[in-house]
Amino acid sequence: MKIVLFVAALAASGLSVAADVPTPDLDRLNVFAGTWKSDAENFDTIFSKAGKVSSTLVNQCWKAGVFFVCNQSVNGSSRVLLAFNYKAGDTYWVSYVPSDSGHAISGTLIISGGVWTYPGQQTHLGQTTYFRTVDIFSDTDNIDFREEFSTDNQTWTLMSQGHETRVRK
Amino acid sequence: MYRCISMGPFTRSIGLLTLSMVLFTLSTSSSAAGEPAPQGLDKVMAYAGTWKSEVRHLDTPYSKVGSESTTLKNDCWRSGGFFACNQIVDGDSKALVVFMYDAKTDRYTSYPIPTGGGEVHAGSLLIQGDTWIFPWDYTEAGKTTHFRVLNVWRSAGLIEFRQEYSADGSHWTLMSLGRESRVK
Repeated sequence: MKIVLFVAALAASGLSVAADVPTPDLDRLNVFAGTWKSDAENFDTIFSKAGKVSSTLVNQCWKAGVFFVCNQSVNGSSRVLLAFNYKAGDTYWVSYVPSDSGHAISGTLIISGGVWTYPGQQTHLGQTTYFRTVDIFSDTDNIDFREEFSTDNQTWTLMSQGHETRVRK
Repeated sequence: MYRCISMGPFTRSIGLLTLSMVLFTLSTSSSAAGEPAPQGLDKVMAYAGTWKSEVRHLDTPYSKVGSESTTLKNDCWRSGGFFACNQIVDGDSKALVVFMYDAKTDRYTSYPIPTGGGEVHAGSLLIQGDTWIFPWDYTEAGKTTHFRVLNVWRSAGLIEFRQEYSADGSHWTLMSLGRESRVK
């Protein structure tokens, strides 16, 4: 459930998808909806500061055709609209539209069993840093999550970890 | 619950944006007699519904001559400050278009999200009476070209639109024109 906005190296594509894309691929995202209580611990890294954060997250969602769309609020304040649409295999496109009318960004979500991974990367002065958020569902109402970064896409440094419990569907 | 680490480069896809803006015609701000006109995001909510669209394209450096007739359905949803429409053209979902409104500046921002992934670029919507304008710029090799789509509301169920480009922002060349009528 932890959402990190990454820059993803995506090839721009204007291809359309037929409206009859199988909906089971979107239905598996239904677990994303609802109200979640979150407790996170952040660690000191070059991308994060140490601290503990508790928050309430609400994902108000809507399914329309090939899109699964959620307005995500944190502690009562709308932060971002997330739009998922199915790519292939276990991968989804994810677009993030911030509530402050800023730049939208795009990435992917990979679902493998109960593990949802949001990979991303950014390049600064020729140095690429990889990021990922990993949500591990122990059941439909409980998630353990962690955020990590890596300079080689193999060895990962923990930035944050925590737990989320769905308190309302 | 989210952290913005970085932002992507701002490059615009003319084809995609053009398609979205031409096809995504907006509903009128007109209202029934005695009722207050919709304000803010409520104006754009009238977007929802099914429209018959007829477009004629002209030969320009940015467009090829031709014509097309399509059926456009906007399946829409509002949540908080977001208004989103799944845009379906002749039965195929083409894009999710998200609108937001800033009351302080009285400006609208739109985000066309393509079904096949890819970058999402914010665009502007300016409402001047019954004329709604989607402007954007495209820069290549240091030269900026201005584009715009104008929707002119003739009635609540009839829109005339045109797409134009300009090198100087003052003199505009027509690329395409057409009309859309609400059927549902």
